[in-house]
Amino acid sequence: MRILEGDPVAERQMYDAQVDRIYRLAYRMTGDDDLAQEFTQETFIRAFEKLKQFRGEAALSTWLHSIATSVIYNGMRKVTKLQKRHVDLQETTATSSGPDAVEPDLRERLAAAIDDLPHGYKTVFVMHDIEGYKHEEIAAALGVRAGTSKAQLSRARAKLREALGDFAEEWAS
Amino acid sequence: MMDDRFDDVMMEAAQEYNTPPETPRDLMWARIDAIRQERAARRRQLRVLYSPWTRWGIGLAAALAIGVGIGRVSFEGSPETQPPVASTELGTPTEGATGAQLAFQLVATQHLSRAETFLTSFRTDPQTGEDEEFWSGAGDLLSSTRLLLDSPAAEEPVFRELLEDLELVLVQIVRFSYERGDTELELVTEGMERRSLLPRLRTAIPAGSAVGVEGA
Repeated sequence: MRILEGDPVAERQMYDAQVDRIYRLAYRMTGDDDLAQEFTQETFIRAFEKLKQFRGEAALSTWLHSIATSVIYNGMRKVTKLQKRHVDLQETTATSSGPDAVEPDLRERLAAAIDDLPHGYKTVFVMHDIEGYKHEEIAAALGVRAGTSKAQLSRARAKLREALGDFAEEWAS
Repeated sequence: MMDDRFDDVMMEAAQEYNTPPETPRDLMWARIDAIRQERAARRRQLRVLYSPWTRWGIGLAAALAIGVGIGRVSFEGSPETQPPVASTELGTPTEGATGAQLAFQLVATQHLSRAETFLTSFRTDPQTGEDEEFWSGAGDLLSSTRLLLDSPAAEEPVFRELLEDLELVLVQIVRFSYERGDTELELVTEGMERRSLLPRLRTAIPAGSAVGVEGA
């Protein structure tokens, strides 16, 4: 592969082929354009530096995503001022008036609930349910088994359902 | 039935979570290019500036710094220490090795021994309770691992790969120390198993050096 020999054209081609998915994932995880750009850049810089160590056991994109998830994870730990959504639960409950009216509030509450998920759950939920990654891709990126990815997704969804319990009750009534 | 419908609505709403704008691909590529050039220039400068003797000095300084740093990791029950012995796994003091190489081999051996001891303790009892000293040990080991990753010791590909896997697991353990959740614990233990981290550490540590790291 030309890219393993440090061919700049091949590097740019790899970047063009992968950057959208990496940036989208970083943005979904952070909700911040500056952070998403920073994490995306760092992912590619590390990847280009480590290309000689790429053993070809996994697809290049899988390997790149394993770097990206690590960069995002470590980067987010360092960030102290992540934008957090604080929704006044009393207010949203009071202003909800039925299934047809809940959607704007539901989006806000859901976003806050996703923000509050443990990092592992959030990563799997964002990758699978929002960005459409397969469990096998997620497992390879996170260094776990596909079964673990499925279990974490199930727990993440359960936590979200629990956080939005009052909305679910309104739908049921 | 209604639950399923609500799940559908929830999934639909989730698609709007942190909706990304268009990827600023050219802007990011320009920055990546600039950062890589800057780092490459810095590496060239370092190569020119550091003679073997300077590197030897830096090696010893790093040995001391890492030794002091990871010396904070204390494990009960093994107060008696012996000096670590470097051997072929990470490089027995070989003929022709520079002083810097020997210093880094020594530090690397000590570091891997500490990591192996720490991870074994962690596996034995992941819920080490409120022992803050134990958890601060994970942070110290992580810092030392990163120092080593940036050192000439990490130029050897197999060793570098081991350090990178160790770094990832230590990050997960530090995370676990904050959150203490089943998920985090699952990630740590599975990560260790999948990477065969403990067996690889044990293979990399020369025989006879495992207990010789506590008093560094």
